[in-house]
Amino acid sequence: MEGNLEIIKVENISYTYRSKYQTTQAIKNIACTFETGVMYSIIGKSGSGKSTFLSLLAGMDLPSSGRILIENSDMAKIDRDKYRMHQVSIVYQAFHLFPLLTVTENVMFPMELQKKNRKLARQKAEALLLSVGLSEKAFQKYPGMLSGGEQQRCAIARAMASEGQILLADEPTGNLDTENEKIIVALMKRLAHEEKKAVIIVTHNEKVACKSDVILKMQDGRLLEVEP
Amino acid sequence: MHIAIQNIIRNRKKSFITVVICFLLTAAFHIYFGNMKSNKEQLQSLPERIPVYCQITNPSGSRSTGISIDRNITEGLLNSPHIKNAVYGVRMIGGIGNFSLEEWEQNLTLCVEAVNDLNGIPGLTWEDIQLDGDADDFFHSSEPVCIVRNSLMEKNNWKAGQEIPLNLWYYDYDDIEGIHGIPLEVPDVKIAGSMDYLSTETGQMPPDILLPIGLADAIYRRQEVPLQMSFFSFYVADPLQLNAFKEEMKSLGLTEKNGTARDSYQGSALTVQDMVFISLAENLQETIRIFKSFFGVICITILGVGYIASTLLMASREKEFALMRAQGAGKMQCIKILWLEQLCLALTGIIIGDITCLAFQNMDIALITDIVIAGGYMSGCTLALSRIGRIKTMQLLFRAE
Repeated sequence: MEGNLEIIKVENISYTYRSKYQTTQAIKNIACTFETGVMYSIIGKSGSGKSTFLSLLAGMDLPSSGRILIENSDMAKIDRDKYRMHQVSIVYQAFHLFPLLTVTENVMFPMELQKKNRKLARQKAEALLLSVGLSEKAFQKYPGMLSGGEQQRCAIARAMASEGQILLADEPTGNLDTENEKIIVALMKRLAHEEKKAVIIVTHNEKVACKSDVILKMQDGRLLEVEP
Repeated sequence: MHIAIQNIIRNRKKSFITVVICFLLTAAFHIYFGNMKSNKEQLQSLPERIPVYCQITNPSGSRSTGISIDRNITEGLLNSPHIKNAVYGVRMIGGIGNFSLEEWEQNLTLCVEAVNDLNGIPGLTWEDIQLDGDADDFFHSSEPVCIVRNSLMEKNNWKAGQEIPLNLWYYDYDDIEGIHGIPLEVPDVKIAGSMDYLSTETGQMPPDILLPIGLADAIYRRQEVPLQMSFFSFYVADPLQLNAFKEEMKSLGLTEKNGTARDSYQGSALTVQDMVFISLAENLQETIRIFKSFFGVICITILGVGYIASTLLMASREKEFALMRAQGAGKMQCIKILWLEQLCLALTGIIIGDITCLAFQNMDIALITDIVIAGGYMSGCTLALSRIGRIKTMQLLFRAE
């Protein structure tokens, strides 16, 4: 798409899980690209390798073969901790907020890791929370005191805090009702189109996928088709 | 560090358990080290509390006074670094003025004893002696002075400061003639003091006249007669070196007493009263050895406690660890945060333990305890954290909920 930056290039990657008792090839020879300013959805049945693919894009592990280029740099050769800290953010189905941190502190956490000024980090966290639609009342609450939709909004605010150009979401609406699902999808879309992030959502919800700019369909670890 | 402190505050219950564990370990280790130190101190002070007393005796051990101790043995003992507080002396017979050899029976009526210390005369105390000047100086003098029994002073109408011609004979012992006297010298001796002394606890004949040993030594040298002490007792300087002491005594020619040996006046055996000392020292050394042998076990136990406690307390924080990794924290950074948390908590427990135990323990024990507990516990904790560090972030965060 014009004006957008090709930020991730996936070159024929495969990934095999090796456990003590079995070996499973979760990803088989996938090749594709991801651009900023676009919202992608990866759909497929359970066990199709969607989440594994996402975690490889997040730099949690390296592919068994092939390579992933981030802004033309091989992920295998870059500092993946720095990559996760500065370039990519992740939103999970189960939110994965720190239960003993307040909502604000959860959003501040990536900035604290980046050693940003604590006062500025708090101000930015509060601004982000307001931008995702959380009220000030929620700021000092603990995640357990929020609804699922509010927790996911908090998780999105935390993902935005690191200012990375890539936002990965693993079933972000999986635990939400229809109302909250719409809010979260709208938020994701805003991040892609207004803040020019590459938003990649793994979902098996067709309604969510339909709102995306590009849909990637996976089956048995392979990328079957790309629908614009 | 900031994150670590925040985590400590947030995980209050787990933090408290860690502090309590370290406190209990510290208290237990204080007791362990305290007991070991106390036993060591008891062993060190044992020579003071249970001194080892030795006496030269005849070979059968039946006589410890009135014997003849070879001059070489006496000199060897006096030059030995292994003995202290030696008390020795020589018993002579004496009369007043000159008389012929044939008149000895009527004139040799006095028991004269030359000693280096008042303790050489059993039962005689400083309170029994009336003396001008320092009494200690008297026994270390080689001047011709003496202390005379009051009854003898009165009988002869002698006064303090008066000089008396003392006809001294020495005892000689041999297998043929047995014990017999030989004339030595007739020095003029000044009466320096008097004593009230009637009998001894040992039943031995009490001396009528006391001389300093230095005077006796000078007289024997003038007459070229070897001075053979009649008794010699002392304490072992360092009873913890008993074996080295006994080796040296053997090299001086002293033997162990033998109850079946023939009765004689030859002072060539050594009686060492060391049974109580050896028994107590062996008990204490055995206790210390047992304590020391447990040290390794205790260190491994502390390491094990550190490992198990950290593993159990951190088990529920695996997801937190994975999430920190997902946020971009390096593995070492995550481990460092958790390690710092544990270090702060361990030190808190240790310091509380120290403060509690310092009431009855010393600072040096506290320092050793701190090093061992902190080192052992944190080593165990490091092992536990290295295990947590191996978790697969990907599988933990992306697995199906």
